Amino acid sequence: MKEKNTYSIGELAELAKVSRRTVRFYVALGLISPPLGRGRGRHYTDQHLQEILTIRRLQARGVSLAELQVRRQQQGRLAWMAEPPPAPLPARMVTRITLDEGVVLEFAHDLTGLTPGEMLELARRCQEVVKNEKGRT
Amino acid sequence: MEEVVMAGLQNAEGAPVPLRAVAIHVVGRGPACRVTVAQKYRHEEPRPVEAVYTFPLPEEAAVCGFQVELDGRVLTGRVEDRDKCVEIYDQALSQGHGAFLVDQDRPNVFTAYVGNLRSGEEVVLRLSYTALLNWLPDGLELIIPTVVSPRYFPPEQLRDIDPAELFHLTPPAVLGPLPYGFTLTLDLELPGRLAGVECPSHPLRWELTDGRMKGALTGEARMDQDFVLKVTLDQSREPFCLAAREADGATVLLVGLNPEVPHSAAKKPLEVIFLVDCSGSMAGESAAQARNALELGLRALRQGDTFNIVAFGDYWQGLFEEPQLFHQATLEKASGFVQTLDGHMGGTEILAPLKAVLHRSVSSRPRKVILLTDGEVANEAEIISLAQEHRSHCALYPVGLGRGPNAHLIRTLARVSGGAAAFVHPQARLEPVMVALMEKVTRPALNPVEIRWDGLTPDLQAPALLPPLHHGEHLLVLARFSGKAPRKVKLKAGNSRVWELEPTVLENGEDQTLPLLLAREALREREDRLLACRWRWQPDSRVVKELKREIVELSTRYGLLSSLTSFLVVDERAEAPAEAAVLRRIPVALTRGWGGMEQGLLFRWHRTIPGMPSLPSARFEDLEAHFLCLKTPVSTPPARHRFYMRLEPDPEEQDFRRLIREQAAGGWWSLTPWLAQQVGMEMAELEEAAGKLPFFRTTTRRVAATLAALYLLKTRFLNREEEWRLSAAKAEAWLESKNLILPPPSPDFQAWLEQALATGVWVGQ
Repeated sequence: MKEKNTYSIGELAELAKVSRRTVRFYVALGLISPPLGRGRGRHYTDQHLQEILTIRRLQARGVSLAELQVRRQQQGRLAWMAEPPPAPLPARMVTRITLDEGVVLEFAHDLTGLTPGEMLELARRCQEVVKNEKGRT
Repeated sequence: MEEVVMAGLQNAEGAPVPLRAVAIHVVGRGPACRVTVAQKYRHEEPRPVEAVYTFPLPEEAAVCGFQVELDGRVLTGRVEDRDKCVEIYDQALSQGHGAFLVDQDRPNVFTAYVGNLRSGEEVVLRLSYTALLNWLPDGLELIIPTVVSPRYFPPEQLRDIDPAELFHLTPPAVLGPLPYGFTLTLDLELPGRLAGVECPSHPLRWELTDGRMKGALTGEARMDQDFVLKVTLDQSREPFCLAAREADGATVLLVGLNPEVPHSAAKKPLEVIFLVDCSGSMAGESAAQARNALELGLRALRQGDTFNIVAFGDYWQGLFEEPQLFHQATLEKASGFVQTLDGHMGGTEILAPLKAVLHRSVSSRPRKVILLTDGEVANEAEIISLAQEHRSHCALYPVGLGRGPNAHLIRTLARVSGGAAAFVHPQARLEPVMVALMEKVTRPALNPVEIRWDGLTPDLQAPALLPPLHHGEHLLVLARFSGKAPRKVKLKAGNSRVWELEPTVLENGEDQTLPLLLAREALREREDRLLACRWRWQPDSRVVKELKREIVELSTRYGLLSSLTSFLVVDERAEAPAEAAVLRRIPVALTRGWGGMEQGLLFRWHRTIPGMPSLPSARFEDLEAHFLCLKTPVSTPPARHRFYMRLEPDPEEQDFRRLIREQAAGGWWSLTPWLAQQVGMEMAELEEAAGKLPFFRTTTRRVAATLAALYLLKTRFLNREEEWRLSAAKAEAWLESKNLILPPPSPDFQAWLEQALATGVWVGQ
């Protein structure tokens, strides 16, 4: 991650893995705070990044944008922790990613609340670790 | 007056709708047309707004111009990188400047952002495009979409889609009144004598002057269905080769060919699969169209062919487990199955049934899939990529039904699989379209098609690979030569047909139409490939990067809009804004007849919206908000009611349909009192007349009935030959197998019958 904590719309979009248009669209719907500054000085911060990631997580849990809009209007912010855990599923949905021969990473969808992109990123990192370990032994 | 009408028209949040009118002007010259679409916005709220409007253009459109008219000034837009455009646009808006942006979301879906509309301001956005006219064997067809229909998003796509893309593709749809409609004017140069004009979608006034057809819609129309125009000419088009020069001296050639594909003597039996969309959006008139199309399609099959019908929605079900041989018993079973089909199966999961059909082991029979659908899905890329993978052993023949089908999906599926596409507006006649399509299915296409450019190699050619040439399809090839230009062009189709053409240099040789069309075709091929790649490879692969580079290069070089570029205009203003602009989405009309909505609205009110997948509603994000607007009272201006429902068919029409429907799989008809009555005889008389034939009684009766039916087709229904020629060909083949030859029609049926029977008796003895 970058050292500085102010981002242009493009940088923010790339970090949050959404398009630039989505960032604008979230601002227009009042789902995230408006950017700071004006014109060329217009920028976003880590707070904006956190807000977008929270929206994406809540959306992945099935919360609609309309509902998110209402919550944001009522509470002033969107809290991830306040989200009650979903009702237990009769069958658990999992994603299994094979990292290497005999090494499997498993995500329980109802518990992690990660987006597919985040899962892949995590898997990639774990794969690095596995590779390094293997090289050592 | 206008103000009074509009005062009450508000969007879902209670704010006035800033879009006020759309004007479309079409000019057809030679092989192409140039179309201008002007959108007029007027803003009356006290605070500044940003209007976002999603609208359709034909998928073949080369969008080459963007102008903004503001305070009597005209600002011209430029094509630039899509991401860069949105950054500039965003900055401009925050500084209080006026900014106008147009994105291509799909080859046929576009979104305009009209930023910082100040109170009392009026702006006109003018988009222009050029497109090849769609020439048919007997004239031309012009389809101009006016509405983006609600589409189905498969659950996995809803999870992964970029929220802005979802936002663009799901404009709020309303059934109630809207403050804007569209007007259309056209000016078409006709290369032959005009034989007929058919405009099933809208009332059109037209006149003919100096070989040009000039027309206009009678008044403003609601933007809730495609504008469809078919112009029939009394001569077919000859093959042609046109040449134009680009500014840098390069030559662009356009070669057009529309040959008659001969019947092949030895017809291979086929495997024909009918894939029928029974999703919610098809309910009502589209499902009725599909049933009629199926009945016609089934009857064009021949004994020896195998077939199956697969209906799909959220799930899919086949008539048979495996394709079955076509004969009387299977035809009757299929006919019964067809009558049960409706828009009753929920979402539009095309992918699963298509996979099941395509992944079946390849048989010796050529496999043909006829897809009957409105194509209202958002996962076009996956479906197209699947068809592309199986192009070597399966051709797709999609038929676009309803008043606003997804032409992008339908045309591309046909193009990538080497099949052919057709569209039928609910007010237009289905029969000729289905007969022409079934001819393409059953007659082997000319393949391979090769083109030789006088020993030269073009630096760009589109299509890069020439598709098989079907009967009645128009082949158009564009190519660019930067150095020497070819003096003759040679085309070879199949094993036998060869054409040699000499380029005719266009009078207005500097006209940019041909180069633009070539660039658009080349762009589209690359966009199709890019979409297909994304599903298979990493987005950062070398192939994807190279395709992206080519798309941006072609797009900026020719000033054409593409999936990776946008049109942008910024109008710098001195004064800073007092407050930030508020977002206003422009509501669009719900496609007329969508999901049988008009008829069934009250019953469906509190139930799931058809066409939407049966998932927790929370998944739907925008789609939910989308239908809130439906709560406005339903009122359609009375003047439009006459285009609402198809009139009951007249008795003549009913008789014709019954006659076609009663033909058996083998090509013969059964003797019935009704059929005998149609030729003015009793059943017993007819049977007796054929009694001398050396056959068993059942066959004798069939011969008599078939002769009667053929006589009816060739006399009473002569003017509908294009609808019955497949039926008649099958019947004549059957009669020939019984050694009977048809005499030329005569006014007296009984005399004609005796003459016909005499040929059989003579041969039989």
